[in-house]
Order: sequence, then C-alpha cells, then structure tokens
Amino acid sequence: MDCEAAVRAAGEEGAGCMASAGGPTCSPGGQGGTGDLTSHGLLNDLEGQRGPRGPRGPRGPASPDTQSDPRSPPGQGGPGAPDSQDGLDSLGGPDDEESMGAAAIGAPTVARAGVSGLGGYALSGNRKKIFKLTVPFRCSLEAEMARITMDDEDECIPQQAVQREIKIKGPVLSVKWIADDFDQLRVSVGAFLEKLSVVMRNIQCIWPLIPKKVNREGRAGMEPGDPN
Amino acid sequence: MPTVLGFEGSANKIGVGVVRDGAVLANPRRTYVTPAGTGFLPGDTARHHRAVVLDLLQEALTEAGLTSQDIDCIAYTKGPGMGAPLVSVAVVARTVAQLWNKPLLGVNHCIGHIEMGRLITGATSPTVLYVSGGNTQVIAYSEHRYRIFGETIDIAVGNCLDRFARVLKISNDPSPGYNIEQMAKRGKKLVELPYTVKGMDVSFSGILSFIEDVAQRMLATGECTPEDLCFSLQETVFAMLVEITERAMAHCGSQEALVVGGVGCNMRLQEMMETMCQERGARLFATDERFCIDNGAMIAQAGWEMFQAGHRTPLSESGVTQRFRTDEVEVTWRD
Repeated sequence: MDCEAAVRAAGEEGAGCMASAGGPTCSPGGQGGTGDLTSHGLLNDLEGQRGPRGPRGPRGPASPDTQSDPRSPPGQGGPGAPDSQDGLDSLGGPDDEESMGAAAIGAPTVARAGVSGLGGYALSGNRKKIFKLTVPFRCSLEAEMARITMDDEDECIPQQAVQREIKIKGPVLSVKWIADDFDQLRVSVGAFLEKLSVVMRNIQCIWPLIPKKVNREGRAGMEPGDPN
Repeated sequence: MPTVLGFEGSANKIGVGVVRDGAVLANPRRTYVTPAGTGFLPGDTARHHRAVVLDLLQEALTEAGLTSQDIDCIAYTKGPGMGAPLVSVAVVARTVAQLWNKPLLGVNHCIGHIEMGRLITGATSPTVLYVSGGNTQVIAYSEHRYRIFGETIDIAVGNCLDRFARVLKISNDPSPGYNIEQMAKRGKKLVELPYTVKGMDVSFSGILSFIEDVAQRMLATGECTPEDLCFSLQETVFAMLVEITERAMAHCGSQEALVVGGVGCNMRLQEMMETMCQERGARLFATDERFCIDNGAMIAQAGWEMFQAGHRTPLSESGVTQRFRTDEVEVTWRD
C-alpha cells in the first residue's frame, strides 16, 4: 500500500492506528503508543482560501497545469468528510502565490471547514512553484521527533532544484517546498510523504515491547506494553 | 555489556540484528525477490523494506528476549548502497533512537561485513576480499583505516553475475548468484571469456558485455549449455579475484585471507581462495550465508565496536550516503 493509499485508508478507518503501508497494523490495544489519533488526525483539511467549490472551473492562463499532485493524499474519505471530493479547488486562482494544503485523514472530530486536498500552486514561466503542507501531531514532542527524522537532505534531488523548509509551531509540523520544476516538486513531495508515513507508523507502533510471561502452553510472545 | 540493535537495508535484503559483547542474539532478515529476468529497483525495494521493517524489529527483540530498555545503541547502515532503501531504514532508525532515547550510530556497510567476518571467524588481521552485488574490494587494515588495495573499476562481481542471470532468465530466488553456482556445478565445458585484471584492480563490464553478446548465439547453435556458461563465468571472474587478493597479500605480507559479502558464500570461490592460500602457506577464513549475506547483526557488530570506542552520530548528521568509501572511517577501535 503506498503512502497515498495509506493516508486515505486511515481516514476511512477513522480512529486508531494509521493504516500501515503493507506492514503490521497496531493491535487495538496498542493504541496507547502514541495515543488515540481520533481527535487529532494526522493531517488537517485544507482550508480553501479561494476558488469555487465543486468541479474546478477554467483556469487562468497562469496555471493550466496547477493540479495537485495526483499521488498526493487528497483527503478524501473518512467519516465526517463528505465534502472532501473537490480536493483541487483549494488551489485558488491565478492571483495566489501559494496556498496552504494538507490532506485530510478524516478523523471525525476534526472540523472540516474547507475543501480538502493537497494545496500547491504552479506558476508558468520562470516563476517558482511553491507547495506547503501542515501536519498536526498530538504534541510538540512528536512533532519535533518527526521534524528531526524528516529533516535530512534528499540526495536524489539536487538541492538547488528544490528547497524545502520544515518548521515546528507547537504540535504542528509545517513544510514548504520551493521548486523550479513541477516534476522535481512532485518527486520531493511524494518522497516526503512516504517517509512521513513511516515516521508516523513508527511513532504509533514502536513503544517498549515487553515479553509476555510464558503462557500455559509454555509459549512466550510479545505484546505492546504501555508507552513511556 | 552494551547491547546494540542494528538496521541493514542498503540493497534488497533488510535485516535487524542484536549483538551484545560479541554474541549475536538475533538476526532476522527478509529478501526482496523480483521475477526472473528482472532486477530490483530502488523505489520498489524501499517500499518492501518499509513494509517489513517493524515486523523484523519485533522479531529481533523477541528472539533476543529483550525490550527497548535493554538496548544501548541503535546502529544503521549509513552507506554505501541504494538511496531509497538506505533512506527508508535510516528513517526508522532515527525514529527508534528518538522514541527510545538511545544514541545513534551510522555504520559503513563494508566495515559491517569486515567486523562480522572478524568476529565469526576469529581472523586477527586478514587481507579481506569483499565481494557482493554492489561492492568488490580487496581491503587490509593499516593505521586506523581499512585501506582499499584493489577494487573493481566498474561493476561489482555480484552485479556481473546477477545481470548474467537475467540474460538466461535464471530465477532470483533465493538469489541469482546461488542459482548460477548450482548450475555451474553441472557445467562441463570452459568457454574462454575476457580476463581483465589491471594491476590491483579488476573490471567486469567487459566480460559481462561479451557473455551477454555470445550467450544467445552459443546456446542457439548448441556450442555450449547454460551450465557451461555459468561455469565459465564463475571460473573466470573468481580467478581474477583470487589474483588481486594474492597480490595484496604479497604486498602486505599477510598470512590470513577473509572472504566476506554475498558472493563470499560461493563455495567455488572459497575453494579457489583456499588453494591460493595453501600455496602461500596462508589461512583462509569465510563465514556462512547467515553472515556473508547482508544482515542486521553485522551492522550491530560494527556499531558495537564503534560505540565502545566512543563514536556517536548526532541526529543532525544521521543521513545516508550512497557513496561511502570504506577508507573514510577512522577505525579507532583497533590498534
């Protein structure tokens, strides 16, 4: 299951662990590792800043290709997210220099005020392409851990081609990309999201593993223990 | 008694190992196998690793009977290797190190092989022939560095074998090199192939191009069988490796040779190396497939040595590098 599908599936699953990208899912009892994600969600909805809801209207000359990354988690699905189908509308009109975007995971208690979908904005000609993403965590410690883990140079993308900035404000991780080229932007964002899914799975699923006492059959097993 | 957890995932094997004071407590591993006739791509390999790494971590801790509190250090493969798989594993190692509040150590993959080979075999100061799908080097220790005395100037010997296997559509399960070895045992005819040794170095791209070119023609005309080609390729490339190893041993006055890396599992290579060592009055050391093939315990073992010597990798420097030379590391844990 790739990153995009994992995020979408997590939204459909609602509370509990994020769907694993093909790996083990946390046991229901193991939600304690990073706590119940229901009330936080891993990714917020995009608040559409401009532009009509519903199907995308004709674009201005500046951004005929301003589609959100088709690989990006569009924030569709998940309870409480019936309006999340028009994920592209948040891109706004040609006057927008940039827009905030984040995919929804569909946690029921997250207010879904706007249109979901990853934001991004393409400008034609030589102008820079900018993309932003916010990821709320349960607490600032988790956000900081994610920042430290994610904030490495991506060797596959020449640094001068894509600049990436990761910031923390409280429990919210914000990422901003500036690129010369859509393809490089897409690759960088896609790679980031894949790594982010691993980090989130790790945070959820890696807690002190305490060997279970040997059961009556004489077999020992492991179960997630309480988190620190 | 420090206990080190090691993550390895630089190519198509992903392993998590636990080592404490020279004892391997756990060493589970998974291999990403592609269909015959194909190779493994970085993105797909990374996806495989991401899918199984947490299972492996749990398996390793269970097998070792340990918890996170028993672990003193997290080691991971910093390089060399394929970018996407390296990054996938490094991300996990970084997260685990933060979650468990343990120091982190980035380990050179080649040094992992060497240190595990030394641990398992007891070799003291051998000339090392490191041969795998991604690396081919002749290495000897000198003044706190593992010095590269000779190496391939193009592709690794394992890469040559793997790509030849694709030409013949030999299965990649369990590995193309293993299947070539089994076919080679049934070969009867030696086909002359280009033999390319350049001083202390070797070159395999020419022999690969040649055999890719002639294989179909010779098989179609019945001049030889696929088994003959496997046999001929092994005999030629292994002879090249034995020559450069012997040259390095003569240069260093070494009486020990150690074979490590996935291709080091090959019994014919070990046999040829043994013959050369006997003729020189030297001793050959080799490990079995548990430790020859990429595994987590070798990273843990190298990490253990580094941890004891006071090495640490700050999180800010815990990236990966696809081109991490063996002699870039200062080997402070040896005299």
